[in-house]
Amino acid sequence: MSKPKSRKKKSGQFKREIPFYLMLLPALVILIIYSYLPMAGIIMAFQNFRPVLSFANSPFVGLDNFRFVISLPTFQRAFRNTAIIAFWRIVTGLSVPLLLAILLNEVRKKWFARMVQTTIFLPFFLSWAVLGGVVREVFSLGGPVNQVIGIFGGDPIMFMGSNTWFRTILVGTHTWQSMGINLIIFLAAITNIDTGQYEAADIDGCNKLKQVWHITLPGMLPIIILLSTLAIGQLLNAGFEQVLMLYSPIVYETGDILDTLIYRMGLGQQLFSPAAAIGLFRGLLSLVLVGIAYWCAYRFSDYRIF
Amino acid sequence: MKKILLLAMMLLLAFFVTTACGSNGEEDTPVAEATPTPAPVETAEPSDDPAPEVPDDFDGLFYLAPLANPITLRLGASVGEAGPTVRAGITTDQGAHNQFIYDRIGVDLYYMWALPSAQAGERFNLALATGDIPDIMTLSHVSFFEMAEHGQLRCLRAAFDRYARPEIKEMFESLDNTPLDIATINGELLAIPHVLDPAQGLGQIWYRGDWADALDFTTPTTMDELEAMMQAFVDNEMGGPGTRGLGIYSNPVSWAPDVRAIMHGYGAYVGGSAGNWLLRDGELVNALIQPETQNALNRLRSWYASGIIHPEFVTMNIDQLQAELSAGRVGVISGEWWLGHWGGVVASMEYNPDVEWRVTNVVPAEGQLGYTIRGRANINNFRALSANAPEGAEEALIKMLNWFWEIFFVAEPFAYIEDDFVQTGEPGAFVWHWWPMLIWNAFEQQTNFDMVNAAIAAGNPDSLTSILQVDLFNSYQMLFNDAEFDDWWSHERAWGEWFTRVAPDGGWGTNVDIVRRGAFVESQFTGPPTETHLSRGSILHDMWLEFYAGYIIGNLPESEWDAFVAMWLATGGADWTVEINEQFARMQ
Amino acid sequence: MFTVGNTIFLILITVLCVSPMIHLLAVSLSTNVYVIAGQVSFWPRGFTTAAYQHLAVQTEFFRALWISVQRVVLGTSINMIMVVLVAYPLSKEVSVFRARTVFAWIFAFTMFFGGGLIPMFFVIQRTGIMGTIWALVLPGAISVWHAVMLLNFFRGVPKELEEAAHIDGAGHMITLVKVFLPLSLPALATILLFTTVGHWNSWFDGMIFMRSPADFPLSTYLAMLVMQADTAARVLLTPEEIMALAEVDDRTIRIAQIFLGALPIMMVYPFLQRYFIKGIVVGSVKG
Repeated sequence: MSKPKSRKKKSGQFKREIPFYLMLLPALVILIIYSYLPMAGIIMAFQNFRPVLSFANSPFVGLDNFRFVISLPTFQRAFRNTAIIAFWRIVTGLSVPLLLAILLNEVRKKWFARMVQTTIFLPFFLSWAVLGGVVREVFSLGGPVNQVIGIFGGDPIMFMGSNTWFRTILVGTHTWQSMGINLIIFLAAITNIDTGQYEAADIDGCNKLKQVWHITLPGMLPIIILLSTLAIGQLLNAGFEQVLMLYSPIVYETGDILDTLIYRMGLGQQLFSPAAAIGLFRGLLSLVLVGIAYWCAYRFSDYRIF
Repeated sequence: MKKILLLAMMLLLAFFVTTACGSNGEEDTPVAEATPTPAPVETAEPSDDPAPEVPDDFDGLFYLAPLANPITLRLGASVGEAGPTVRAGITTDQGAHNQFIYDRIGVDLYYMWALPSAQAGERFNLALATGDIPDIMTLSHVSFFEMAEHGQLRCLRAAFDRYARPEIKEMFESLDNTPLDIATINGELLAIPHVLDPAQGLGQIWYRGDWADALDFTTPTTMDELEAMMQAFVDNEMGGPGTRGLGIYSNPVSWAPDVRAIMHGYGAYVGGSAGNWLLRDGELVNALIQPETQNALNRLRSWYASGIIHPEFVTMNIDQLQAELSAGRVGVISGEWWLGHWGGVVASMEYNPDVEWRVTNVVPAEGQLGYTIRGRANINNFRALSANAPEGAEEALIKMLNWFWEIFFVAEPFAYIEDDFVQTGEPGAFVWHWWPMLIWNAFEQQTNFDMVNAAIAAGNPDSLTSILQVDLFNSYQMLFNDAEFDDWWSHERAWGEWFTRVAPDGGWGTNVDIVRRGAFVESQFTGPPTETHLSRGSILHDMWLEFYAGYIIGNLPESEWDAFVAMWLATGGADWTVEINEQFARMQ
Repeated sequence: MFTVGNTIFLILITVLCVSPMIHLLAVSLSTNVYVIAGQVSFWPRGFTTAAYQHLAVQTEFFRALWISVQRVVLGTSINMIMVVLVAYPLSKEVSVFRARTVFAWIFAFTMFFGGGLIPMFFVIQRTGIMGTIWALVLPGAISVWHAVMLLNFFRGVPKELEEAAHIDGAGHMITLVKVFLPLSLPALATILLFTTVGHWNSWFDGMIFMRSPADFPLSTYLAMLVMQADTAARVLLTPEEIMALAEVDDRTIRIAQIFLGALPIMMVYPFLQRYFIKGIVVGSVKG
C-alpha cells in the first residue's frame, strides 16, 4: 500500500484521481437510489409487517421472525436442501463449462466449434415454466431415460418421485440449462492465453493433456477463482423457479428449498416479514462467505477479486 | 472489427435517446383515452334519457338511475381471459363496460393496474403497503378482515338498504343473510360478499360409461362395486397399455380431479386448503386427522398397489393428468358438477368421439352413508370500498352491482354484449366478467336447470329468459334433434354444457338429487381465519399433503398415522382447533 | 482418436441442447388435441400451421416484441456504458486510485442485500418512472457482477500500452476508449451478450412495474400466457372460472409464441461470435 508521503503529494494525487470519481458518479447515483434506498425495507425483517399498516405502523417484534422461521419443523430440512443443491450447482456449473471450453478449444473446424457454442446456449432462452414439462416427460416412467435403462435390462426408476435421484436431476438439468453462460466466459478467458505458449509446447512434444494442465488451466486460473468466489455468494440460492416446476410433495424431503418453503407459506397469506428475515440471513451469510474468499485470494495470491 | 462494435454501441445509444423519450410520452397517456369507443349509447355525458334497451319504467327503477354527481373511482383489475367472442388483445381496462358504466351510472373508472390475477394480488399488496389504496376493491377473506380491523373500509349499510335492487336483497334473505352477517363487523356492513350456491362444491364421481357398458358394469353404488369396475378397466386395458382406474395428480385434495368424493364415501369429509370443520359431540374437529380419513387412505393405498392409480401420480402436475385423461387412459375421476365441462374431459372426447362420461354421487364404503359435504356460506370474495373513497362511492358501488344484475339476470340478458357485437361487426369488447363490481345470482344455475328442463319438456324455448339458457336449450337440440353445430360450438362443447348444467342425470342434476335426498353433512366453519391459521396454515397444509402422498404410495407404514396426527396437533393443529371452537362458541 | 471422441461427445451435447427447441417447434406445428394428450415429441402430429397463421394477424405479440426491442436497446446501452465506467476506475491499483477498494465494496455490497419488492416499488413510484420503460431499465442499470468481470479483464491489459497513451498526452477517458476497450472486445462482447439476454428474458419487473398487458415486453407477455393457462392454484371456483375451464387450453398457439419469442435473441449470439475469435488480444498487443 502506498503511504502518503506529504500533504502536497496527497492533494496532487487527489487531482489525478478526479477523473475516476467522475466516472463512478453516475453509477453511484443510480446505485444509491435504486439499490441502497430500497434496503431500508430490511426493517421488515424486524417487524410484523402488514401491507395494511405499511412500514410506519407495522409493529416491531425484534428477532421474532428469525425465531419463527427457525422453529418451523420444515426449516432445517429446507436449509439443508438449499445448501446441498446450491453447492452442487456451483461445482457442476463451473466444472462442466470449463471442461467443455477446453474441449471446444481443441476443435479445429471453426464452423463446428461455433455451432456447438450456439446450441449449448439454447436451453437458456427457455424459462423453467416451459422446460419443466419437458424434463418431467424425459424422466417419467415411460420416458426416454427409462427406455434406455430398459434396453440395458434395468428396472424403471421413478426419478421425479425419488428422494435418491431428485437432487441429482435438479443439479443436472440446471447445469444443462445454464452451461452456455459460463462456457462463454471461459472461452473469452482462453482467448487471453498467448498462443505462442502452445506452439512452444508442441515443439517440446507435450501431449494435449499436459498442455491443458500446464498452459490452459493456469492461464484461466484468475477467471476460475473469480467465478468461484462470486458463486459462493449464491450458496443459498438453489433455483426457485426450477424447483417449483419440478418438485412435488413426495420429494419435499430432498427437494424443498428455502424459497419454495416461503412461497408456499405466502400462498394463503403474504408472510412478508419471515421472507425478509430469510433474505437478510441469506445476504449476511453470502457476504461473510464472499468476504472470506476475497480475503483468502488477497492473502495467499495477492489478488484482489474486485 | 473493433470499431464496428464501438460504432454499434454509439448507435444503440443514439437510438435509445430517441425511442425512450417517445415511449415515455406514450406511457403517460391516460388509460381513458385508450378505451375503445363502441358502446351502446352515443352521448358521453351521463344522460337522463332512457336508452332503447332500458325498460320503459326506467324512471321508476331508481336503483339504476345515474349518480347525481359523476365521480371518478380508482381500481385495480385482474385480467381474465376473454374468450373467443371478444376482440383479441383487449384487456380489462379497455373493455366496453368502462364507457357503459360512465354513461349509465356516472362513474369514471381509472385503472391503477390491469394484470393477470396472480400479479394483481401482489400489486394490491404493494398498493396497500405504499398507501395508494384503490377506491373499490375485491378482497380475499384475509385482506377483508384485516382491513376491516384497521378501519380502512367504509360502511355500506345505508347505501345497500337504500339502493340495492330487491332481487339482490332477496338472494341474501334466502341465504338467511348469513353472508351479510359475516361481512358485518361492529354493526357496520363493510363489504358486499360475493356468494356462490352452497351446492357448488358437492362431491361427485365421474366414470367412462362406454367402458362400463363394454364390460357390463352398471352405475356403481358401493365402494366395492366402484373398485371392481376400476380394476376391470385396468385389467382389460380399456384405453390401451397404461390404463388407470382413478385419475389423480400430486395434489390429491384440491379443486380439480382429486380424491375428495372417494374419501367422502368413508365419511372422511376433507376438502379445501383449510380442511373442513365437523361438529362432533358439540366440538368442532378437523376432518383431516379423523380415523375415518385413515380408512379412506388405506383404500387408496390398496388401489395404488393394485395399479388402479397411476404409479407416478405423486409427481404428476395437472397438465400431465390432463394428458392422461385426454389420451383416454383414465376410467374414473372424482370432483364436482362441472367436471364434464372441464378442458381435460372435453379434450378426451375430441380425441376419441366414442368416449362417453357419466356421473354419479358419492358411493358409500361399508357401513357408511355415502354423503358429501356442503359449506354453510360459500363466500368467494368481498366487494368493498376504501375509507378514502370519494363521496357517493357507496351508491356507485351498489349501482354497479345492480346494473350487473340487470344485464345478466333481468333485462334481455347479454343484450349489451350483442349491441357491441352488432355495432362493430366483429368480436366486441364487452365481457361480462370484466365488470369491476359484479354480483352473481347464487341460485342462477339452479334456475337455469329448472327452466331449460321445462323448456325441453315443452319443446319450446320461448319461456327462456337468458342467452345462456337459450344456448343450453340449443345444445340439447344439437345433440338430440340434429340441429347443426358450428366451429366454436362443437359437439363436445355442446355436450359439456348440456350434460353438466341441464341433463337430469348430469352434473348439476346429480347435485339436485343429492340436495333433495339431503345426502350431505354441513361444514361449520364460516368465520375469519384465526391467528394460528394465518401463521401455521401452510405448514399444516404441507404436512398432511406430504403425509397423504407418502401414505398412499406405501412409503410409510400404516402405523405412522398416529405419529402424523400427533405431529399435526403439536405443530399448531391443536391451537387452531381451540381457536376455531372459541370463535364457534362466540357465533352461536 | 481424441479428436473423434471429442467430436462425438460435443455432437451429443448439441443434440441434448437443441432437442427442446425441436420439441417446441413440433408442438407448435401440431393439432392441439394431440398436444394436450401428450402425443407430440419431436415430429408434429396432425401437421398444421394454424397457430402461426393465427399469430400473424394478432397484434399483441408484435406490440410486445417491439417493447422488448426498445427495452433491450435502451437497457443494454445504459448497462454497457455504466459497466465500463465502473470497471475502469476500479481496475486501478490502490496506489493509483486510493479509494478503489472502498468503492469496490460499496458496489459489491448490493449483490448480497436487497430490501425486497415493496421498498423498490416505493422508490420506483416516487422517482416517477412507474409504468414507463425506465422502470425496467434504471433499477438494474448497474450490473456489479459484470463490472467485476470486466475490471478483471482490464487488469490484463499490458501496462506499457497504458503508459504509452499517457505519455502521448491522453487522459483517462481517451485511454479507456482508445486502449482498453479495443483490447477487451471478447469480454465486452460477452457482457453485451449477457446484458442483452438478461433484458430480453426478465419478465417479473414488467408484471409489477407496468400498468397493463398493453405495456408488457415480450417475456412478460409470454409469462402471462403461461400463468393464465395454469389453473392449478384454485380452490373455490367462481362462475367465470368455470366458464373459462371449458376452454380447452390452446397450447399450440402458446408454444408457437414461446418459440417465436426465443428466435430473435438466439440470433444475437452468432452475430457476436466473431468477437470471441481467439487471439484478438494477443495479436493487438504484439502489433
